[in-house]
Amino acid sequence: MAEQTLAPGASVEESQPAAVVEVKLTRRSRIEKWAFLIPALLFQLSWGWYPLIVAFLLSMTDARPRGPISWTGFQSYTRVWADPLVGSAFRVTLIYAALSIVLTFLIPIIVAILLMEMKPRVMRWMMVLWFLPLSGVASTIMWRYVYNTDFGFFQWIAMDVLGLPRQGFLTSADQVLFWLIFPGILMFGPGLIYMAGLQSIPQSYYEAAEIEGAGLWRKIWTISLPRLRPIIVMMLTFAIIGSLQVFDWPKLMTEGGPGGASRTVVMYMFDLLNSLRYSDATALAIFLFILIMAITITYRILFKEDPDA
Amino acid sequence: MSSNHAGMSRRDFLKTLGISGAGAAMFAAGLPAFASKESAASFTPRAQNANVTLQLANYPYTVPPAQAPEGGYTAQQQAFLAWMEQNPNVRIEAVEAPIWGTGELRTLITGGTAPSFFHPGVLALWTIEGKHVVFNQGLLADLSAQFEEFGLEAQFSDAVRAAAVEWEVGGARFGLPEGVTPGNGIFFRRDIFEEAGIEPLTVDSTWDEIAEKALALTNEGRLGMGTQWWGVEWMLASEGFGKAGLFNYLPTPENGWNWRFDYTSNPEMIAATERYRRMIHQDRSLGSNYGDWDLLGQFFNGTMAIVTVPLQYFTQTDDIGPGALAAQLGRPLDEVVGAIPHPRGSNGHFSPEGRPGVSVFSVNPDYDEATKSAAVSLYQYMALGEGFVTQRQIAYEQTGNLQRVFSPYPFVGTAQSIEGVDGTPVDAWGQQYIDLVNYATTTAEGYPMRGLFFPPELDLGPTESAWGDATSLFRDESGDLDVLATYQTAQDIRNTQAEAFSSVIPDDQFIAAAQAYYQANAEYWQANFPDFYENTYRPWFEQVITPRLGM
Repeated sequence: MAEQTLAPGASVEESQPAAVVEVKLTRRSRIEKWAFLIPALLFQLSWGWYPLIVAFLLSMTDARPRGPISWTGFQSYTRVWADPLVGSAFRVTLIYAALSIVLTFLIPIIVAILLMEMKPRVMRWMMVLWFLPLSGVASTIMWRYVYNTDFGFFQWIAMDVLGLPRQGFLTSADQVLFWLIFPGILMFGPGLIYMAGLQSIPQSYYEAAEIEGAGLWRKIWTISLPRLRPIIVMMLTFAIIGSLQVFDWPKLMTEGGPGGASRTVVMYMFDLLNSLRYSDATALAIFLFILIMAITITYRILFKEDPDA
Repeated sequence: MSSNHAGMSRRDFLKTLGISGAGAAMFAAGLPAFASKESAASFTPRAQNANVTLQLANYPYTVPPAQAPEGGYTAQQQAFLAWMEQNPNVRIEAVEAPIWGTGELRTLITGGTAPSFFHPGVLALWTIEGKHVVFNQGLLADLSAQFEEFGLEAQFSDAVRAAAVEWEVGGARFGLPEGVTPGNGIFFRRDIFEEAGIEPLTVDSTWDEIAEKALALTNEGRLGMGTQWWGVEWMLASEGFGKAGLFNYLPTPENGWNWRFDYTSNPEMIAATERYRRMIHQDRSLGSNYGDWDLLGQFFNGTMAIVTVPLQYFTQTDDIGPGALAAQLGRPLDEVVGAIPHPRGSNGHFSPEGRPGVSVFSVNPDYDEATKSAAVSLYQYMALGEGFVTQRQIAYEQTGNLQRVFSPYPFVGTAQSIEGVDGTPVDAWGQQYIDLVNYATTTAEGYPMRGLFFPPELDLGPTESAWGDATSLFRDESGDLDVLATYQTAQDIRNTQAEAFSSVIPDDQFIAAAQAYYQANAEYWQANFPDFYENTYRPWFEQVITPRLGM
């Protein structure tokens, strides 16, 4: 294949397919390219790969804050693998992730599409209500009161309005995961990003579809969802990783209770760290890393083909 | 623990950076480090010839600013200034350091940038075993030589000496007692009892009696009783059970980890748990989701008639303390607030929660002997010596209020009166409280604390998560719950976890320590609670412990 040097200001002939053109960069361009790349590479190496490698090495030692460290091989992995609470933490995490994705990832897609069908004025009001800025800690305090089993708002609704028996909410092992995720539905999750994506779809697509007699469902299925596909694929990756690493919300709301029913893997990792078991905590982190990697790779393979491409 | 590196190690480099940063922060904040002044004042013992620097992160004492603030220095700052004058070669620096976060404090210590003083509980899950482990891991300075140098133990009150496990392990000293509580106990509103026509609680009250009275005192606007979110521990501890219960730990020297857990062999443990659940979920007379201060607040407001709190809160002088409550109601303290220790168990067992507890602070483990001596000198002066007396005298001069002088009480040191102060702790708090202090101190004397007999491990072993899971279910799950099955699950999990650990204590050493520990138990229970010894402890020891130790 012939190489073509592209001098500054020169252009590639239009007749030549872009795929077969190999552009030879000038020395200056190469320096510029690396100048842009190096900070990002250094950042990734320092804060991504270096901690990962150190964590892996630490997990094979009896690491302690001070004093000599000795090599223990896979002892921490064996200990963590045999720990019954690790299995239950993974089970809780997977259920939490599945519920979280269904409730706070899929619902906002539907809501965003329906919002776009509303009149602009109504839509703006709905968005104001939905995107009320609340700090995380303030939300936690508010929700703890809402869920209080003695004088909470939801208990009032359950008992006085709906006539139901006393509910456990966060104090019930059967209900706790749902009620932990529930505020995420109201906070609309990634809905704003979907709405931005939907607004970028040319109105002419919908008008053409309407001329052809397409109804709401048809428009959603053939226009909105395919156009949102790249955003959904990206957001779902983040949602999977984020939900499998969940820590702060259950930590603040339930401390993992009752009976460990809301203790996630990262929360148990935190318990191990607090118990000065650094190598066990890092071994658990490696297990979680493997799980997330496996799920993410599987998901990426499944969604590799873009029918619109 | 001295640092004798010839060059600058990574740790020293980090330390230098930390000190520079702290210095810059102080400069920026207009809080220059105190340059020491020459003084001929005599004070013995002290860190006389040591050119050392102490760095305080606002704990346990506030470094006095260079210029007297508006309104003058506080009593503590005046005492601190007097110590500085007497110790001209010790440089004091105020630093900013996040010493109340576990991860942050561990990072400060391992990075070599920790301040002089910090609370060891922050590093160690606030447990005694945890403190012993972090000491063994080198995160706390060994202060044994300084204890000798300053003759500290002779200056401690009986209550502090009764809680030696909080600052001593394997013969080494790692903590400086800063506060003492005469055990955990129970406050009750005498005025509310009186209104309801209910007999007040006494030292001989049982948990069943308390449960009954809590139910009788419960109405729409008031819970009969309130306790912490770990409140079940109090009822279990009375019977000898719980997170650190005598009967729940079984020595197993033949295994890698030397302890096994038994949560299912004792019907009293199930009965105590079921009573706790009945009070919460059936009687609705017990709230068990509170912190110490929440409970004190509810007690002050009258929305709880009985609360479990550290007994030292009796001498709190803030807005919601018992003294403030009595003042608000315009009645003598003894007529408004009653206080008792935790009840003894149905088997006659004395709750270890009723023994005195001591809060300690520890010293930077990187310090050389001279710097440690300076740190302990400051502590000795402020908590036990002249500085302590000065602070109390100033408080009395400023307020004329005896409760301000004797708060918190009991004192860490032996002195129970203050020169120049016209009054005693009895005058300040009443005979009831002083009797409680004496009861806790004398009853706990010789109480065999496990941590004093066994050498410290390098690891904490299984986490307490499984135990916490069980107790959170007891507290939260309002439906049918099989208590025994829940305990069985926790026991199985902890024992499975324990199998994966190895102890650093040789078997023969562990067995010798265990024999000494159980012998001390036998002596203590026989001397103080003979019924419990004969009916419960001795049979259990012979049937369960003797075969395990090959005795």
